[in-house]
Amino acid sequence: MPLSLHCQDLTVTIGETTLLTETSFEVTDPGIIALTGANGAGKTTLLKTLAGRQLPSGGEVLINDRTPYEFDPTFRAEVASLIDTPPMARDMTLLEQLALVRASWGQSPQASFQSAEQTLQRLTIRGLAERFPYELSAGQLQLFAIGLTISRPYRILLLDEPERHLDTERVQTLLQILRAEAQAGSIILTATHRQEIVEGAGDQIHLSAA
Amino acid sequence: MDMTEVSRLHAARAIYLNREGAPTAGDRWFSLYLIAFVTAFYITPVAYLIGDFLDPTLAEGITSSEAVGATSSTLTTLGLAALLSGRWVQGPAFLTPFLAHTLLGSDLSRHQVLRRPTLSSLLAIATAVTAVAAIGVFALTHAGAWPWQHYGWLLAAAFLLGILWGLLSFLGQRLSDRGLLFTAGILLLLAVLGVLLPGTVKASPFGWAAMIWAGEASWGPVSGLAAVAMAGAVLVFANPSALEKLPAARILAQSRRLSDARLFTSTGNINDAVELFRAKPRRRLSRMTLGSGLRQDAVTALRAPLSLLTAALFIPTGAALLGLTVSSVGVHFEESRLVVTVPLGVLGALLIFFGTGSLTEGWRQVKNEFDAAALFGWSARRAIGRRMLWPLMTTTALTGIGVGLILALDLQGPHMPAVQVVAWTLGMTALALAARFFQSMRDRDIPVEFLAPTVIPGGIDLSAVKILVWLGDGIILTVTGVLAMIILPWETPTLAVTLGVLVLIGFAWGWARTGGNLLTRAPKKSTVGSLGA
Repeated sequence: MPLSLHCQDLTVTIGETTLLTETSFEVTDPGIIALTGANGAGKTTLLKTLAGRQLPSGGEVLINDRTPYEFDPTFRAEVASLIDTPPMARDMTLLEQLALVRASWGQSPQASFQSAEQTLQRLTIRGLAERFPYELSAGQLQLFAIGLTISRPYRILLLDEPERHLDTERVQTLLQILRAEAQAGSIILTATHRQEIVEGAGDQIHLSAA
Repeated sequence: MDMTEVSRLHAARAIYLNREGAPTAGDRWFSLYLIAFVTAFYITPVAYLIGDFLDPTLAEGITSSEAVGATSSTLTTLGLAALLSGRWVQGPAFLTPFLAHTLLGSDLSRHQVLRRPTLSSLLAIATAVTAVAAIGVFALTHAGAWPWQHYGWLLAAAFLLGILWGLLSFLGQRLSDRGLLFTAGILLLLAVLGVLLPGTVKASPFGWAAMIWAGEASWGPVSGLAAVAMAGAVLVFANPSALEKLPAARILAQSRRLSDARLFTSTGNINDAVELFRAKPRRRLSRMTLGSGLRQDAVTALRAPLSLLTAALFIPTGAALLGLTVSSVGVHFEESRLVVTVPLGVLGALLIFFGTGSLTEGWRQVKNEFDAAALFGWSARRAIGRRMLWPLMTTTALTGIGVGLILALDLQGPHMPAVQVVAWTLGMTALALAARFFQSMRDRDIPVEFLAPTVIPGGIDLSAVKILVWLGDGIILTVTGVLAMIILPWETPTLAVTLGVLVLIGFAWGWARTGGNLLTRAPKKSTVGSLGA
């Protein structure tokens, strides 16, 4: 099974506005890649294009040798993304929501709850398991959103500034989790403005403003 | 991870159903009890009374063979509305936002994920249509429009029509822009043909339903409707690509909006809930919005065509209902007929009130113009005056179409001259516009003092009533006007004065809400210059 991110002369324009100038790169090994650039450089647009949510205007984009396509179940199985804040259920506890994600990917309900507890433990919010999303702070919500995203299996993970609302200590926790996920064999492409994450990543892709 | 898709979904569903905040069995039983209570003690007696007092001539008129074309067109237009609402409001493929994000983002087949909720929605739509039809048809059958043996056929037709409308709503949710436009075009053509060439209705399922409505047939058209509904259902549920190719982003956006609207409504933020469904400007005509108020408002309306279409449907329909109401109250006022005229008149007035929403976008913006009046160099009086022309012109024209239709079809009855029917309907439309102005000029947020308890002797807190009145002030003014017209003794001067005073109250109170002064002149040019610098 191939593992790769491939962009060749990729551009995205809407009307007369260029959201992403010609961008080319190739990633074939597991690891963390920091995606950097000024505001408006096209980081989010690039992530959306890789996630199959934005059609490219020119060039080529391939994920594991396939064109991103939301109607392809194999593509959906291989790519997880946290680009916008994911919707959370107001009437389900954090534990229930993480367990449901696990169960939807094939774990038994009992195993799902156990895995969900482990995920909360990794995110250092085990004590919030029985809380509802509206009872959390912005930082705790961000950690939970990361938890929802990594609770499902994937081979490629796309993150848009996952460090939002996180303090320095939690950013280190996030880095540890991302490293562990990369060591398990995934490519993690994360847009970021935090130097710690750039330094903690194995590689960097820098986008220039359009 | 070797579970089948069905067992994966089953496991996720089990966790969802047993969630901490899930409704209990008691909650469900209470909902059923409420429905049964309202049906038994309110809806059924009212339907019976409507049937008792309904004018048999009117009942026969709207169910006669001559009405088949118009009925078919109405049903087709409702189909068109279902198609468009499936795209821009809510389609039947529905999951809560969290489930939509989780399940549609997984590798599970979307056909598998969406089959059950889509089927449930279709059945819910069909059941709702049947329930509404059961009430209306009960009243009309009781009034002698059909023999009772026909009641079952009409309900069967209503259920199948509900399925068809649900399927059209699904098409709206599923189709590409081009496909949607094509389907809408076909439905529009069928609606127009129904009126112009009534013979063509025999080729359309909506025409078959119209024939059942007119009592012309039963078994043949019902089986035809059933075959079309069945074929549509097979295409949706047996053809995997129908559900498989539904865009997740569209489902998620609709689901998020509905969920947010429910939350806003539950906390009393009706304005915010309504705002979620207001059409966003879609066309790049912003440069054309400069210029006169009329042009500005016209371009604003054209940038939200669906909203404009809603006004074009609601206002003439409301005017037609009001025309029917005023012509049936008139000099032959009978207390016993209030059960028919009140719902008809209130519905008509409310349709006009809601229809004016998309034509008065300029009124909602005008308060900002007051603040910047000095920059524009015009007075508050002029700021509001220039945004009056578009709503007045369009609403009057659309009302004219609705009431004109009633007169053209000679449905107004012999009690009132045509001129009076037109005049009273226009008067009520003026009141609906005044109410809209009154509502548009209020502040967006509930006044803080309304949130404080207002305790009356006996310890009852009326603050909730104040908030409800504030939220629905425009509706209350409109309904008050139409009720006055129906209930007050029919003396032209009394009614004219009442209506005139209500219209004046609407505009004057609305103006007072702006804080603008009618007598204030426009700022001098030198002031404008200094502000600009």
